[in-house]
Amino acid sequence: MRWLHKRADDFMAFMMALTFGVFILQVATRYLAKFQLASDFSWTLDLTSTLFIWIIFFGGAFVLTETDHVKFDMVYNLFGTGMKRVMALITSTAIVALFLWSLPAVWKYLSFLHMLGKPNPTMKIPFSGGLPVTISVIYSIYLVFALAMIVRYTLRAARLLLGATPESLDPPLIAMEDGAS
Amino acid sequence: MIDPFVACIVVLLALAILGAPISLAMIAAAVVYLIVKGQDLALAAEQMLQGLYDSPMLLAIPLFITAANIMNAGSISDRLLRFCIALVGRFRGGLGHVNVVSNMIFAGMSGSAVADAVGLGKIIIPMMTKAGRYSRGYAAAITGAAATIGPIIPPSIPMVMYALVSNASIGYLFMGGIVPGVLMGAALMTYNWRTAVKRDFPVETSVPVRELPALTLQALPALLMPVFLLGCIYGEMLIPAMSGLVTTTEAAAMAALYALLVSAFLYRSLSLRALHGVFSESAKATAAVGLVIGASLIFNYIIAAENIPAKVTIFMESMNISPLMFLILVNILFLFLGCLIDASTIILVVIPLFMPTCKKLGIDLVHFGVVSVVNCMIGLITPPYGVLLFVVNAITGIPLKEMISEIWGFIAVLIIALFAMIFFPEIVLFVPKAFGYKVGSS
Repeated sequence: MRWLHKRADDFMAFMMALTFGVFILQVATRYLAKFQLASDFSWTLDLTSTLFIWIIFFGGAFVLTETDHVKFDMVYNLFGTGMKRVMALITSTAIVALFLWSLPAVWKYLSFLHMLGKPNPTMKIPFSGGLPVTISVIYSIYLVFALAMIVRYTLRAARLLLGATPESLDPPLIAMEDGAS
Repeated sequence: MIDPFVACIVVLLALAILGAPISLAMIAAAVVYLIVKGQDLALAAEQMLQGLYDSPMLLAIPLFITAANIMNAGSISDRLLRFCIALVGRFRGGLGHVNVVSNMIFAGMSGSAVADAVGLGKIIIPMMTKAGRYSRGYAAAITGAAATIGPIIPPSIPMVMYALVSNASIGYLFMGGIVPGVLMGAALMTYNWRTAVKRDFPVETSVPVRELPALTLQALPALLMPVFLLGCIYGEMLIPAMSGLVTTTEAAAMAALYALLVSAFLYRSLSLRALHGVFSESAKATAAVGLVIGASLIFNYIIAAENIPAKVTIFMESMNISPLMFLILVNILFLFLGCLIDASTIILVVIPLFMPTCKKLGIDLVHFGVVSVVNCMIGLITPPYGVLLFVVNAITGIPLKEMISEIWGFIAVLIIALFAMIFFPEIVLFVPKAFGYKVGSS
């Protein structure tokens, strides 16, 4: 499990480095194109946008821990272990239930996109212009994310019921990262 | 029959207050809304995926995060600090001034207040508290307060978010932040100077002026970074031949490349291992922030579907308030919310509620945007929920209580600066106008 988490982390680092590299390539080719030394790459934008949503949902599914998320935990932190367990159980159950509830619809949406297969501008559905994959494949990461949320929060609820303390499941932060601020 | 929107808000607040991640709480609440309304449940996923995929501007966020992380991993922040000590360390309360000035320069390279507080705080707080020269609380408080300038002086991640929800020009927003950022720095330095006189803070042994050129040279590649970055973003406005070469997002990538090259080759302070860490940390931060942005996109879809902003406009019109009064009230509301919730949530979810009213009242969107972002950044240091306080606490172990007892003076001067920007829009709009911005055009 630890090993898998490490590889997931490597994959995130790889996607981030690739995003960065592709952007540099994009600027370079644009510059060269301006002086007619190369043709402009149009696929770079699709690739970076794809990497962006993959970093977000893959990261959300496999890398981010409970404490990495942006949270409003002022009230939660006021309480002791017993109350925290109840609160964590309620939130975990709600998350599992609502993600499960929407799962069939998400599956239908993705298969609909997949059935369309080729880009269809009249439908106003965004498509992957220059990439050799359809948008359904790109968007499928959301399904992975939803499934991961269901599994992770089910496990969390089960552990809480079996007696684990909420504190032991959420190790405190060492360094906070909040890109937003 | 339950009202779908009420159900949605109740679920959101309940889950958030019970401690669920904000992003998951918003997704869950959106699903509840769709269930009650009887709409396709896939709408939530669709809004998120399309919104994130179709806003190339958002890609600036991971790239700015990467650039800041590279600078923190390399020795760029160290060199910058040594330069600032030579420059302003000689005055009373010297290290306090060093803190503010280095944050202002750092702000020109990074778009994140948290990255600034982490990068500079780790080095300067131990310097300030060594031998008890400054109290721990004061050192921590000024570090947090100075870091709020980070996203005001361009580049700025929160302004990218504001541009997303308001459609205001990101280039002009960035420009609008320059003078306000300097004003905030001046406000903090004035307060530091007054406190230094009152409490008799130490004066650093002044670095001889003849050493200044050498220190400047060492820090030069770091000092040139803001120039380089702004050159990339605004080059096309100055030199028409450069037009269309680099977008804001690409400029973010260039900034990261520049930081990488300077750290790795010129300063030789970045190992391959550290680079792996930089990319993995940046990707993680991107995922955390991206989920919040994605979730707010569904939420904004619901808010729009329920016509909430229009209702806010009608309510505001019925109160018959002037644009200035509106700005003041909204800012008081944001300051209050800033004490409780996180800045990105305010920018992405609360600000859109007021967009139509702003337009109706003829308030310039660049002015409103810069003022709102400044306000939200003050929110990062207002207790009880102040992300910067938590970050400084996490990196230094200085207790929140000591920090909070020292933070009020800094908050007060920053609020004065904020209200100056509200009353005198020119503070914000002067630079954009000089570059051809037409007020009210965005």
